Amino acid sequence: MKKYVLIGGSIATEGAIEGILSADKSADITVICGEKRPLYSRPLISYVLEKKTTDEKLYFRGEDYYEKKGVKKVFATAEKIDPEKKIVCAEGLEYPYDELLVATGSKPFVPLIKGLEGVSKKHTFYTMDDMIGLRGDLEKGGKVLIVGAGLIGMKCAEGVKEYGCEIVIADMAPRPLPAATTPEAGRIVQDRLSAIIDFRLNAALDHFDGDKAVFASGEEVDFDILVLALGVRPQVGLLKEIGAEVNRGILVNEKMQTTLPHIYAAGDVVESYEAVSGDKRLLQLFPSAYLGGKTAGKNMAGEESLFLTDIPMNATNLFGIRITSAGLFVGEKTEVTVGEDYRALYAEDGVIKGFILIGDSARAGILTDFIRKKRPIGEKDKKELLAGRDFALYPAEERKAALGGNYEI
Amino acid sequence: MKKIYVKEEWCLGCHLCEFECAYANSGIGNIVLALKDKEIDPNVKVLSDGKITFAVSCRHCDEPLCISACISGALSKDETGAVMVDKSKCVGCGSCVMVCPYGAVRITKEGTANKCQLCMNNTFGEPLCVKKCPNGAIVFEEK
Repeated sequence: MKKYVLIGGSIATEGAIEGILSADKSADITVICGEKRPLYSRPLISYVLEKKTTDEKLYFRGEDYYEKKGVKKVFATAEKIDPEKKIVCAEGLEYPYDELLVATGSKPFVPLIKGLEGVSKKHTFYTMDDMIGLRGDLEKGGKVLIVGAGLIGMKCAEGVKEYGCEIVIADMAPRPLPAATTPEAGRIVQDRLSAIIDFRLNAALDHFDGDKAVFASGEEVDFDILVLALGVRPQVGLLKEIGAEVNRGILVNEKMQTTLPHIYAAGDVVESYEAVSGDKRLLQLFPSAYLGGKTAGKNMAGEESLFLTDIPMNATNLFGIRITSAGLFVGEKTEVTVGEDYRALYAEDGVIKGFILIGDSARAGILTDFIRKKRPIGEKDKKELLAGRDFALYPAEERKAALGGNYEI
Repeated sequence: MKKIYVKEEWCLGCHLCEFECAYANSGIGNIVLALKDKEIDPNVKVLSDGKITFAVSCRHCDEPLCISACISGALSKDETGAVMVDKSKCVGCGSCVMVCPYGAVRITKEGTANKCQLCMNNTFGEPLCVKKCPNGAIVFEEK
């Protein structure tokens, strides 16, 4: 019986379990999870804070997922990998493996800011424990300063709003969602939300003076509760110290193999093949983690599988504004406005590279598919696509295969 | 598993499947009461490329992208392999819509995901779009 050890207990691990079990029914799988919780869905924490779903439903595959799958769980922090002896050390015990997955995820980035230690209520917003801690403080009320207007900061703000707290969001960038949107889309979001959120943009944080943030411009913001949402950093330490090739994330090939034998990696911790650019990228997205984990799992169990269709993508509903995007915002832009909705498509050499939609997203999946498949489109087809007359643009044979029977997605 | 397949060469574009779908999932036992003067939001949609018409509904993919993108666990495969929706878990983020290559999942006015569930969650128990298509352009079979 082959022994599989998976370090980390989130989406990449779930994908790997599914991948391993699809190829090796008698697998002996052990999950080592330093967060000491059953599998849960981290992107749901903002929806729980917002009371749109419940703490119980965070365990989105059921609290007994590992038991159902016959997987042993070890709630301990993995401290060391010995690639010679093929063992993982975690809190005093050793776990031997034949194949190892490192899915250690990432950690909120907390910069060294003068005076941070003197802030009385400070939080990051990444794990279930983070959310529970923040919720406890929000229930007592007060003014909230969120530093970072990326997706984590903005989704956090939506939850915070439920508690009737005044919100200030500060970011060094000139607009909210600087990484996940284009300048045009970011500005639309900013305009629509400026009535409920006090944005401080182009604002570099200089230091804290008690519960007061002082910005480089000299501007000051008092607060009761501070949330630092300055992005996350991959936790590459375990593999870096044993000589795996690491850039910002752990470098893996299309099979999700690291540069060390019998060691795979997936999820937030990796830089993997990104299909639009053809480069290795740090994507840190839910579907990438699941599918990357699944690919790793299959390969670990001896079934060859390649992950060649990974692209950036995001879908969210922020204070009622639906924002959906995929691919890269590169090449020639085609944009349309339909009522309140904004849609932009980016194309290069007759192939769609990316899109962003504010509002109706009903046909987004087809645009995503055009990107993933690098399906050629004509110049006049771009507006057709943005108008939702899309499926008709599939080559007839492909469409017939898709609707009439066997079709590889 | 048995799935719905579409034969576009037989589709006349009558949109009857859309009405039958809306009826099947209305929970009302009379088609007139269920649909008269109501805006329908069916799980099957008849599309066209200008010349040819064809009905599109969930393909119940073997490795569904919608499930791999679903952050809430609302989408899952049942024991037959059909992709089902648990509305009570859905938070309406739209990740499924972002990845479905058929445009076959949508967020309804209620704010949750919905799609074809092969009429397994209603009293008909068999896909009504298939049964009522006058031209045999939609079939439900094992391939």
